[in-house]
Amino acid sequence: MNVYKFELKRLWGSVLTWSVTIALMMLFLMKGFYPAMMGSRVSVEKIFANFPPEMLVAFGMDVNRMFSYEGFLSFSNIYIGLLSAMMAVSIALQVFAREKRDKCTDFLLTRPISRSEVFWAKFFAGLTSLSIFGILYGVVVLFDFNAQNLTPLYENSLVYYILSPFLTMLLFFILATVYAVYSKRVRTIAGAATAFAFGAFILSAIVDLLEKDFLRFFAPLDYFNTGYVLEHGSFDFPLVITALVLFVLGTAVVFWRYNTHDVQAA
Amino acid sequence: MNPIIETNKLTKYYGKSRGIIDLSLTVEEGEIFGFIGPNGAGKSTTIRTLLGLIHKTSGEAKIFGLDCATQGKKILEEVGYLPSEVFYYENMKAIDLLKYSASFYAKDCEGRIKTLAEALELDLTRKIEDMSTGNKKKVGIIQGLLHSPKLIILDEPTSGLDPLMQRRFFDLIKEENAKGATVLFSSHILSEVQRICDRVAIIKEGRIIQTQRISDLQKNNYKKVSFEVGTGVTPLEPALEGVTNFDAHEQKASFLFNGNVHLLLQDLLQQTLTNIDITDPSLEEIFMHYYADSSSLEGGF
Repeated sequence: MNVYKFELKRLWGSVLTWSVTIALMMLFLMKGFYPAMMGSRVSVEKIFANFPPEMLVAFGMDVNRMFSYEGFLSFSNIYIGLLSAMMAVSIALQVFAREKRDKCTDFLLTRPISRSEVFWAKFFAGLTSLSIFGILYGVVVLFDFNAQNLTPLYENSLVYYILSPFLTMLLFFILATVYAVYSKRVRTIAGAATAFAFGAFILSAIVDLLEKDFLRFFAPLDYFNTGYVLEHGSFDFPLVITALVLFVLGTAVVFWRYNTHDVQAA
Repeated sequence: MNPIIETNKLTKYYGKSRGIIDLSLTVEEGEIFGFIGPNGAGKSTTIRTLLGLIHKTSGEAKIFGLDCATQGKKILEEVGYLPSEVFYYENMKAIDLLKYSASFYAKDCEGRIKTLAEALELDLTRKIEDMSTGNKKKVGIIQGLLHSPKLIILDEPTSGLDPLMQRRFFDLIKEENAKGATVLFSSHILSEVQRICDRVAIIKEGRIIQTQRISDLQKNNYKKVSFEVGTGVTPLEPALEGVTNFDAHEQKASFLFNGNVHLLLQDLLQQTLTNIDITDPSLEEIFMHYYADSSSLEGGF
């Protein structure tokens, strides 16, 4: 429990900064940008008409959808998801590369605590941090949606919008944990988080442009795509299963590695 | 006496690289056991295997009769460890780190932290990253001793400490030992080991080549002698018992000597000396001489 508390204490500032930033961005998009765009719909449609269609696809801009509340929410979720992925990578690297970066693995692993206890304490501290964001984000979306006084397209569509960034986070959290545990050195957290998120964003853009169905499995940022929810009323089930398998497999792999690797002298 | 540390044919390879090979040693309860050898000999590998930081390739390692590979958590409740280089979390004050360290033990360590900090003259309110190497080392000493461990493992602990603080550190270790703690003290500095250890194991290229009482080692009081003679003269080997490893090049010569220094000087003064240097030999030089036929000494006593 002391490792869990220690990690939460060390993460607190970062979690608060990320969560408030993302929540404020969401509010800005929905309360500021969306009404402004609706107010000048004709002009915006003209601007979009001048864009190359490939570019609109790459940036997730579907003109037909963006002028509905849920369509815009879905569009916003692409970028909220990108920031959420960055936050998740940042949290994972802070938690699992902390001793590696500060060269103090010897200190922690010579305390009377098993490696598996350390692993789970860190793992759940990371998940707790992501959950704090997930709850805050959910409250913001609910608050805004209720203020619109709209009927959702599908019975549960709001749940999908709320869960999408959080589930994306879980996926990127485990991917970044694999990186943190296997890499010899993690130099900068900000750099790694940016590389992860933008790498995933570019993958998504390429997959969208190529329009090959099977390639969607290579775009983790789109696993919980709310654009799919707009059309089908739920997430893409095979992608959800793939994400679940990746999460369980990734957790098993890093757990094994954390418990068995040799800790070399700093 | 109860053995506190026992290893039996403990072997560790890093891929194909040698770490330690068939290392067998026993450290008895209450002793200060020295572990000496040159850098890369396998001292840290042994210690890290005992602490569960690295995993053995084969053999056995036990502390308090418990298996180091499977019962590490139980073992570490009563072990204090001070590595050669100390690193801690960024942005933490010494007191916060020590409280975090103390939180792992089912003991109240606060009083002990204060006592040790006073003895080592360490300001606990300062951030560790702002501290000098010596002060960081003091933090390391306190975290290693704050829970009054039954076994203290020191891996080249004095680097970064000034002579005064080294003395205080050795006094602290002796105090802990007097209270019943067993100490495993790894070093490549022979004088440090001679200063506080009861017994010593000498490790070379991953194998223990000798285990010996310090008192026996000290009986062999070797000196390294180097001298130069005038131009056109050849340096001569002193015709005395105790002269070994004599080596001469042009006007310079060197040898190891174990015997009566007075007789040695008398002998040397018969030559036209232009320079002379008598020093303690390095540990490596003692190894080279004393364990020239190390295979016949394997197994210790």
